[in-house]
Amino acid sequence: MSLLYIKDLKVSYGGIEALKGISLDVEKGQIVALIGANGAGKSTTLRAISGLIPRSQGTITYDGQVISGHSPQKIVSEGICMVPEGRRVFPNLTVLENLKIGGYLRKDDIQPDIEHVYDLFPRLKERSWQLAGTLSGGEQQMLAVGRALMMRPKLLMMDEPSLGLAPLVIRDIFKIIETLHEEGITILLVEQNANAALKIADSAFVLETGSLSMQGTGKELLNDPRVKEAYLGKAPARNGIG
Amino acid sequence: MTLFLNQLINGLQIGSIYALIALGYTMVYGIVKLINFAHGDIIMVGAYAALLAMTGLGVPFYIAIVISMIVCVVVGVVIERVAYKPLRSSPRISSLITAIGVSLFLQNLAQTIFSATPKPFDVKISVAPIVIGDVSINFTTLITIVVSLLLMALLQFIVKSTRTGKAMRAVSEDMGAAQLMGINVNNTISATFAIGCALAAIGAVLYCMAYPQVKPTMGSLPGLKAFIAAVLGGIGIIPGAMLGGLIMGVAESMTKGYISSQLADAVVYGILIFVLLVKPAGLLGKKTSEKV
Amino acid sequence: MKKIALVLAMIMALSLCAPALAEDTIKIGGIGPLTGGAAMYGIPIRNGAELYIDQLNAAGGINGVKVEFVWEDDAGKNEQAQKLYYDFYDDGYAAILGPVLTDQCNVVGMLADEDGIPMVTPSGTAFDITAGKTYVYRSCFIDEFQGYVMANYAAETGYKNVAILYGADSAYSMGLVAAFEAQAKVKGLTIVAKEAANFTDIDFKSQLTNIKNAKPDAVFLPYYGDAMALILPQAKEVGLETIYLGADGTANVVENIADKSLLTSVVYSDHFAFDSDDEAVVNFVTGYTAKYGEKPEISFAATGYDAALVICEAIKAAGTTDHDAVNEVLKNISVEGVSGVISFDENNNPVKSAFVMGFDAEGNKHFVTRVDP
Repeated sequence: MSLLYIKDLKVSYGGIEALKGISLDVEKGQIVALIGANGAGKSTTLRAISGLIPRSQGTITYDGQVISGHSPQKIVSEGICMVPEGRRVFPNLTVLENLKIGGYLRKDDIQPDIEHVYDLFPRLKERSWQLAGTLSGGEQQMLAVGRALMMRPKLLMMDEPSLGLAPLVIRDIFKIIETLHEEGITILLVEQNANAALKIADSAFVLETGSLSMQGTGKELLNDPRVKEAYLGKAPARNGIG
Repeated sequence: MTLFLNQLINGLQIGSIYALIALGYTMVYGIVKLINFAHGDIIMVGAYAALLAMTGLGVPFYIAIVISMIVCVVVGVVIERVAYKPLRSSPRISSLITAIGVSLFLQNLAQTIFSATPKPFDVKISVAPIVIGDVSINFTTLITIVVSLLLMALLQFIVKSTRTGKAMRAVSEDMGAAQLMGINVNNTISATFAIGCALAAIGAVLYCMAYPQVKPTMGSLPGLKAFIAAVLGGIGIIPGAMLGGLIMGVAESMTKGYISSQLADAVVYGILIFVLLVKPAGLLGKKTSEKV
Repeated sequence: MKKIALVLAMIMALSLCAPALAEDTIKIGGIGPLTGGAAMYGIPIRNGAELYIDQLNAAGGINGVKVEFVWEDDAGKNEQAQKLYYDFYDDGYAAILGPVLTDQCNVVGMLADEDGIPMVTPSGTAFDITAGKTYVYRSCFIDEFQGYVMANYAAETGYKNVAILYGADSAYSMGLVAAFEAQAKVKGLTIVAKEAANFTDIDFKSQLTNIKNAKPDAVFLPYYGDAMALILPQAKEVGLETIYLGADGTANVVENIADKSLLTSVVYSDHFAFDSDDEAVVNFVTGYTAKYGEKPEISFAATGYDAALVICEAIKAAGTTDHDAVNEVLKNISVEGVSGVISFDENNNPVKSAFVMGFDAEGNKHFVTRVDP
């Protein structure tokens, strides 16, 4: 059963069509990877799902309900949370404050969730009173994930979580994604690091200049010669790790 | 010594009014990166609202303050929605010029409605001055300083500890990320304007108690001074606005008292230039590098 | 030689008089603001001048010829005043009454002097307006004169130690202070504090605190009413209890101040005292009130009346509307106006008395004393 179903989604920015009518579905409990080059429309897809940018055509169905057209607040409260590209933690707020803001829409007690995040990321607990801006890149990524978990999302969308991180840290991040997956969270992962993403993905889509060009299971795409040539060879270098 | 203390109190009084107004500048700048030049004119709106409430409706002073706050909040929020919101994603210079336009609009509107003739602001608070040794503190002065300090503390509480305050901080740090947390950015920005304008309304009434005259251009001078105070303290930083306001008030008063009134502005701007040379982000400003 | 020229001029003037007065009317042009911020001066001045012309026409005009008085609004703008002046000049007006504000007086005064048409301003108090000019006069006394008057008043009243708060960026304020200081020296007064502010300042507490520390008997405050309305409450706030000496700019403080009881400690010099029991004054006040339905509020209403009076008396004595002939009469005129006997000194300034005025707790003005030159 699909948790998220996108049909014929088109998005335009000032006359330029960033998404030219894509359809994809995300099965409940899966890790779905969306790979593609810079500017292919990966982030645009996520932002359209979040309600941050208006679509020009198409529908987005989530958990049996059409959510396209809902406000970002409504979409968050329905259980779709995003870990944005570049982490976007609130740098002058403490780690704890960041987490509390993550639970902004929650009306119930969020203390257990904070504990849960601290269990997942003991490093954050140690730095609970530190300003988020002083954390390392990897720690910030943990915080960004932890912050998104505060809403107890059913669907967690992650935009380039490995971007700009050291290889060792990238490994940690992908481990975390698998842990979250084991907890039953459905994950929609956007990555330029196609190799790592496809390895853990149940299914995957390839975006090329606003259209879906390929789809299949993670393993299928990992072995597809076209994917190998286009994305697997050079991807890590293009990320500019360092 | 007595003279020094008296001048210090004079400085603290005007300084705390600057600080109250500066808070509005700094909050708005913090959240939408807009220097809201119309904020000074909100003081004028607040002063006329309070004046009309007292003379026209005949309500008592404390109710006039509430009416003034309501009027300022409504005007401020409407200005934001009508004039600034459509330009939120435009270059900053567009909003800045719009802000100047709004300022001129408010002044000219007031001039059309109320005429340019200054109107007396009549508040009779006849409480004897408080005398400590040789230093006497007038009741108005005392009220101004105390009310300002309380409001600043209240604002700190709101920003640090309430839901709206948290939303405001999140939006000011990263509007996009705040949206992803389910924060309604538009409402949060409106709330920021509303709080800033409510403080300006109280600032206006305190200002009129000290300088009992209401006219259409009355907001320009305190508005400008408060803006400088906000920059001095580090624009976007709330404690910075308070510190900047108090420093400016005391510096002005001391210069007028001990050096020359002609140099008061020069000294204040001199301090500003010096601070910005040494700490470009202002006294409490953090060094920020633009994200690439 | 000069005398001969004068006689010749008189003869020429007289020879021209018959055709001139044979005209239907004698036209006098008034210039001054009826709109804008300065209308509060312009309107009473026009009213005062019109009152005189009405009374004159009712009594048969000048030698049987009616006077047509036309007042146009310059809105306090130089270009506007200049344009109005040209209109009047081109239409053959006999004299100009006005303008009202200093700036316009300077502009129109210069033109009138070049063109040789008599001009009498009822309210331009800056020295340079008439100084060195042949055809430009005023019916009010100059700013500086009031500094002199108030120093005399302070000395006579026994205020030995005086302080000064003034606007260092205002010619009005500076001129008054210079004259006050000079006369204070003559009278042996001690200036215990002299504090400067900007004329448009809002906050005066620091200066007032310093003045309070100097413990003066009186403070000279050469400011306009709107600033006075800010200074007095702040003086009370810093605990300064003293007497405040103002000049004519003080007169409209009543409209600007909320707490009128503060005015009881203010005295100021003025061109005119409405509550004087002088017969001319009583007639003026009743006439004005009957015509306009309100009492004259500022003394310029009286100087406006006197300006019209001086012009018409000069035309009458000259027997012509010829500009030069009228001007010759003006030079040596001595007439009794409502604000005293008016004659002009070498700078075309009126030599006349000043009135010291005070307020009661409701803000009503009252006559304190008269200081003669």
